[in-house]
Formats: sequence, C-alpha cells, structure tokens
Amino acid sequence: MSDNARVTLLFFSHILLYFLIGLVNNTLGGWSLHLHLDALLLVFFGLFLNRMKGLVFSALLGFMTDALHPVPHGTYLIGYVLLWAFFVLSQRRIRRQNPLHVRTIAVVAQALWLAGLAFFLGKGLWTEWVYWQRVLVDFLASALVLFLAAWPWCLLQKKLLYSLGWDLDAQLTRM
Amino acid sequence: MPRNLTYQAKSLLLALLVLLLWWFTPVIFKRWTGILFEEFQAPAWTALSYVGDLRSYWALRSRSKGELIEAGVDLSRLNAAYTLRNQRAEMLEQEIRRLEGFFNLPSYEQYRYEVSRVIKRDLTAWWQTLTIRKGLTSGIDAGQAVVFSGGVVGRIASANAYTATVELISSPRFRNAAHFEGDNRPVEFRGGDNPGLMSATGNVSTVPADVSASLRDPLRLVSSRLGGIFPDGLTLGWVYNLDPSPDGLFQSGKVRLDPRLQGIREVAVLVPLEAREGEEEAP
Repeated sequence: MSDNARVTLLFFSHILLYFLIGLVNNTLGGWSLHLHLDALLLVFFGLFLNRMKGLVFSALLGFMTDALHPVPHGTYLIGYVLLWAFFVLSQRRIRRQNPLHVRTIAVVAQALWLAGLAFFLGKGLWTEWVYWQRVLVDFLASALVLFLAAWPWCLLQKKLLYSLGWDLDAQLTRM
Repeated sequence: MPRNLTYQAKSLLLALLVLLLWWFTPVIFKRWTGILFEEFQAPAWTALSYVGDLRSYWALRSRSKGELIEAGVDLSRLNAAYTLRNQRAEMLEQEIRRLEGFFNLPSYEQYRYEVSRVIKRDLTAWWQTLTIRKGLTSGIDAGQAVVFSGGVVGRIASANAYTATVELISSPRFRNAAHFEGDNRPVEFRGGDNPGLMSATGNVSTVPADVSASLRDPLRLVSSRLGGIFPDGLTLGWVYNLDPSPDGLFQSGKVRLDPRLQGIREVAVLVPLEAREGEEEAP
C-alpha cells in the first residue's frame, strides 16, 4: 500500500470522527451544550503528519465544517489552517511522545480558536453575561473532552498507520 | 536546529500562501465550494438519521402488546377530539370566506404542511440551527415558516436539494414581529439568550406601557402576520415579567421558549399554496 493510500485511510477515520462529533452535539443540544472539538480533528495532522498532507487535510476539514455553519464563507477554512500552523509551530516546543504535552497543546489550541470565534462572531453580544456564560460552559466541557480524548486519538491514528505498514514513531525518532 | 526552524518557517509560509490564495479566490468559486461541500455531506447526515429511525423502530418493536393497545386507545380518543375540532375549524373557515367575500377582503395566505424529520441540531452561542430531511425537491425554500405542536420553531435559512437548514427562534439573529394573545398591538421578538445547561429564552421589546405580566398571569406571545413569514397566532413563548424602558414609553422582557424546542425530532414547514385562479382574477 502506498503512503498516499495510507494517509487517505487516515483522513477517512477523521471524517468518521467529524460525523461522530456531529452526532454527539446533536444529542447534547437538548441540554444546551455544544462540544467544540476542532483541535481534536487537527491535532494529529499538525503534530505528526508531514507538511503538505497535513495542510491539505486540514483545509478539506475546514471546507466541510464551513459548509454547514452560518458563518462568513471561509471562516473555518482560515481557522483550521491557522490551527494547523499552530500545531506545526508547537512541534519543536513540546515532546510529541508525552501524552500530557499533546493533551495540553490541544486544549490551548481549542481555547485560542474559541476565543477568536467568540470575539468575531459575537459582535453585539459582548456585553451580555449570558453569552459569556454559554461560551465558558461550552469551552469547559470541550476542554475536558479534548484533554481526555486527544492522546488516545493520536495513539489510535499511530496504531492505524502502523497496522498499515507505516511506523510513524520510528520516523519521528529519526527526525 | 536551523533545519527544524526552516521546516516550521516553510510550513508557516505555506499556510500564509493558502490564506492568500483564498483571499484572492473569486466569490463565485467560494460559493460553489460551499454548496459542493454541503451537498456532499448531506447524504451521510441523512443516512445517519435513517439509522436513528431504524433504531427507534426496533426499540418500539420491543414494546408489549398491552402497551400498544393502551396507546391505540389513547390515540382513538385523541382522534375523536380532533375530528370534532376539525369540523368546527371547517365551519369557521367557511365563515371567514363568507365574510371575505362580503367585505371584499384579500384572502389569508394558505399553506400546506410539509412534515420533516430533524437530522441534525447545531445549537451554539452564535447560531441555533436544525437540519431537516427535506429540501427544494419538496417545495421547501428559504424564508418559509417552520412550526411544531408547541408553536413556532423558526424559519428556513437555506434549502438544498434534499435538506434544509432551519434558523430557530432562539437564534441570536432571529427577529420577528409578534403580539400578545388578545392584544393586536405589534411588539418585537428577538431570540438570543442561550445560557449553557439551561433552556433558551428570547426577548420581547416595544411592549406598550399598559401591558402587565406576572408569574400568576403570564402572557402568551404569538406570531404576527406583519412579519410576512408566519401566520397569526402561533405560540412563540410565555412572558412572566416586563420591565419599563428608561423613557417609560415601552417595556421589555424575557420570553420563555418551549423547552421541547431543543430536542425536537419532527417539524412541519408551512409551504405557501399557489393562489387559486379565481382569486388571481379578482380585482
């Protein structure tokens, strides 16, 4: 199997995660809660995958998310590319084999992205405490899920690649 | 180390190049990609919704015969009550037509109900939308009213071939004319207060100063025909308290919305019927 085929399978696993997040949010809607897990979708592309493939897949996920949300067109594309760049810049500042580092960087990236959205999309609502309460509740719930899920998700992706004949850990050690 | 920096710098430059390319991309192409990615995902979301329906079906199959008989008896009672109500509604409609003819009044807009399942909820601090399983092919189009048994759900924000997006009345961008039950003076309804882990609420403003509401005597806020989207008299929510504005001319308050709105599974879209030929010819 070629590298491209392996990485395409990896991308499809991310698409599955994307739909799973949608289903979870569909259920949580009844409790006025929304999980923002954009960083979970991008953390592996940004921290472990090579530059070109990571960027292309991040942009594609950005397009998919953007299409379903009533935001100025391109908001999520720009955001996801910037998030991917943030993860790439973090590569040499954290230990990618350390679960705590990966979990923390995912939560920090999500916090930055949510703060950006809160200021960009919340014009006219900045002075209302209910708005900030909602953003905070959503962020706390999302951060908890991200902290718990970021490392297992990366581990799962690495194992998937390993089972397809690509030892990512060995490659990272050589770098 | 310089090699690592170069790798990061190159990545950053690449990201900037992508953003620059997007900046200069023609709007028509951007719009096209938006529609393409939306239509591309629609079958997957619809399939997931059908899987959910199948799961519910098998869960219902596990019910005992006794439960089903009980439900059947309840339904037959409801049917009898609704049959009587239908007869009364028909009679009232005939009376309306007679009066319209007598006074030469224009007819109320007529609708057909297009019932559709909800396939996706997206309820955030910035937008509150539902995706439903019917679209342009079923006659659904942007701007049409969406209702359920508890009253108004929202309006169609956009429609694709087989799916449509509904903007809920709790959405911060939602505004519409309304009035209180039994009082035809128009007020402004605005969605937008969506606290986390609590039911969504809306806001009502420009309420005349002589209107009062309390916990004992709440006011039912209903839709108004003035907005041009909703028929008159559909429930928007309940108002329990009104506060006077600084100038003392008007009042404003919170509107408690139906809590079922956040977990709704099926809605009806009000698709306007074409005007009948006889009415078109009328002066």
